[in-house]
Amino acid sequence: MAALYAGQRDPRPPARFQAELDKAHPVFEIASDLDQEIARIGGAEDFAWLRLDCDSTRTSCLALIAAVEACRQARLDPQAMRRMRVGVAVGTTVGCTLNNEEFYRAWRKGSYPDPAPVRRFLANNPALYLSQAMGLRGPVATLANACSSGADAIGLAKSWLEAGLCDLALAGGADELSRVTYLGFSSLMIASREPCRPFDRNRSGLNLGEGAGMLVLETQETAREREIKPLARLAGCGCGLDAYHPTAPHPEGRGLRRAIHQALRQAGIAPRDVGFVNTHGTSTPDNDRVEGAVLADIFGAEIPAAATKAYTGHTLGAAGAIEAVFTVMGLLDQKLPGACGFEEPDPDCRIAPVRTTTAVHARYALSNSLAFGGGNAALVLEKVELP
Amino acid sequence: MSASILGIGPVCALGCGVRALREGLEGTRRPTIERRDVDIGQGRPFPLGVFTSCADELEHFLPKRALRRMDPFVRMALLSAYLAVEDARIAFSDPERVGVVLGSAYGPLQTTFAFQDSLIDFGDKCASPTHFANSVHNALASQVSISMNLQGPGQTVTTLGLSAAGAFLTAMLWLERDDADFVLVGAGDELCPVRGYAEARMLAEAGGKMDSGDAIRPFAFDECTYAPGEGFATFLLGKEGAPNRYARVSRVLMGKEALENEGDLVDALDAVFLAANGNCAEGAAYRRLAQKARRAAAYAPFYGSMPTGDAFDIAIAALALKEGRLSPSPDASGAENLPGVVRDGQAKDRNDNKDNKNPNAEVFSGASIGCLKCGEDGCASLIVLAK
Repeated sequence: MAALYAGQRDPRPPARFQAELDKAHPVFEIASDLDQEIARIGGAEDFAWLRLDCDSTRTSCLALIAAVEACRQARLDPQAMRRMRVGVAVGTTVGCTLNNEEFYRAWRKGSYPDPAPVRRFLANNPALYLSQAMGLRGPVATLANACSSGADAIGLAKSWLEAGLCDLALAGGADELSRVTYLGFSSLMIASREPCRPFDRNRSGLNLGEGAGMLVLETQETAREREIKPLARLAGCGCGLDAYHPTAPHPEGRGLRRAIHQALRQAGIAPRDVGFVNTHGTSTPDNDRVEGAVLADIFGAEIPAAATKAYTGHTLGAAGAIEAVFTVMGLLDQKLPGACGFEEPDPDCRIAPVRTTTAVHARYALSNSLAFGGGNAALVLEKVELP
Repeated sequence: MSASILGIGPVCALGCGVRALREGLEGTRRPTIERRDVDIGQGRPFPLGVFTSCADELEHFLPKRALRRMDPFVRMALLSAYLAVEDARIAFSDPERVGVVLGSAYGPLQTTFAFQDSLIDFGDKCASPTHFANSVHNALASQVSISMNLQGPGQTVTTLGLSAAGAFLTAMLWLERDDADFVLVGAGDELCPVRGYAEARMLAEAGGKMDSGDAIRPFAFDECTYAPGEGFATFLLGKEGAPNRYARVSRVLMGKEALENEGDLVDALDAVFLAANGNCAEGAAYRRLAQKARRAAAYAPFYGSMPTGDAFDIAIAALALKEGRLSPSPDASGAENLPGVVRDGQAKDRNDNKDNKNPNAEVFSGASIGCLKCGEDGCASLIVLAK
């Protein structure tokens, strides 16, 4: 969060893979060695029992690192978790796609490649991987709703808890940067060759990123029993389909409106109660225009808004979860990071993200996700006031 | 938590629609099995029986022009969805109150690899945007929502063998929470040459039957008789109490806890349909449950081996409960010491139903059937249908 509040970002051409394009698209790549990080976790006393007996993919590593951090923050005893009914819901896109180029090229050439990459893919379904690695026994679901997957996973876990299907849930999203996805977004001509600038009049597309965000969700009763002060309350979730176009958002944001209204209704609040919005803000012309118009209609054009993809890039299946984390942090810190790169407002967007780190006074906040295929998700988070 | 099955839309190797499925159960229709000699680089080709599906009937629901850009898997899922709605004889009055949740272990495989073909054949700069956009797992739910104008909640679950259960559980939660009045819920997977190659390689390594690749023997628990299949089964679910054409989905269990207290669980069921499909790695769990079950059956020889095959078992269970008869397992070899297994030739001893169209089927007066899917890793799902 410190980097966000300081307005620091460093998108660069991808380092882990090569692509033959005239000019590279900058991306937000995680530089640290994830294997070492995983080894550190496995070597630590509290998680020494982790079952890491498969060749973990980068997406799985990201999910696990985020999950362990979330569990530690929640002061969860990992051994106790294995006795509880703990559900795992993870959103992803790359993590559920059999995109091993080396294997496929070899197969096309007729050189009979070893199916090890297929086995690795099967062993790394993100939610199953997490559940297995941590020895958990509750419901398990990997969601693939493109860019809203992470938020949808959080919403699904909430409904499991409400229905009494688990005592506690690990929910979020994870996605690694992949050459195939990188070239896919390039082919769609929505990846910018410059650092992205959500909602700016001169925005020219998104930057891809990678990462994971995981939340520990539990009922108030469980938190009370564990004598834990929650960081925030997940007050409402909503999702809605555009039923319009495979890649473009509905011009009036039909599904997004439904998702937001459903989330507000579930939270039992009115639009005026929302103190700020963490936008989806991809920096693509269509997406920002539609999202901005919907937000302006529902909350008014002056609603304080953050556009954090300016710092992370678009992390696809992880985005909704990472941004839920940012929203929680915004509620805790009562401030929003300025949207790096945002200079000139676009009248078509009708809202503008805050330019610099800005104090807010918010009890409730909204986090939006809009997806390829017309899926939309909205989460309402509430600051927890404890005596 | 409970939901009513109002309509069923199966698309599999037996054909399309409930009638084709019923004819398969009655023994008057056989699945389409193509013999493919897959070259796995081991001297002689591996003879693989492949259960194929055809979605040409989609032309009854949509003009040819609308189908032009749809990939084969999307057509399969879409046909399945239209058949389920037609079967239910329901016209939706409010599209915002209809949700879509689909499950798939692998997603649109052919399109995923078609995108990689475009990279290999035309270079990184000329990758196909159309293939990329359609390669996301949620392309199916997206196209169903667009074609049928369904604007309620939407999700895509991709938890390998738990995908169908995850989709059903999500649908039931939406109905319970009043997020929707109806939900189209389904699951399936598609074949493609790379899947054939990888599965043939893995099958050969696991000691698959080289000389009878098209005969799935679900009860030969120690043998690998896997024969890949494709298809999609979609259901229209309504709220508990809706006019019930088939049966109720009364319970969905997922994860490790699905097999906890398995004795009690199976005891409480009048019959258990095992999604055993010739994968010997899962055989031990199925054997244990087949031994405990009052009545057990396995129908993979109708639809082929696939991670989402339990969706077809749900369709068969719904028919069994509605029509009060239990069809024999198409191949019960290996079940000689399992008295509970429903097999050919038993009906005469158990039956006195004169107007039974299927003389091989036994009268079934039970009230509940569990559809069980076991994974290799101790994870499982159980979907319980009740009269």
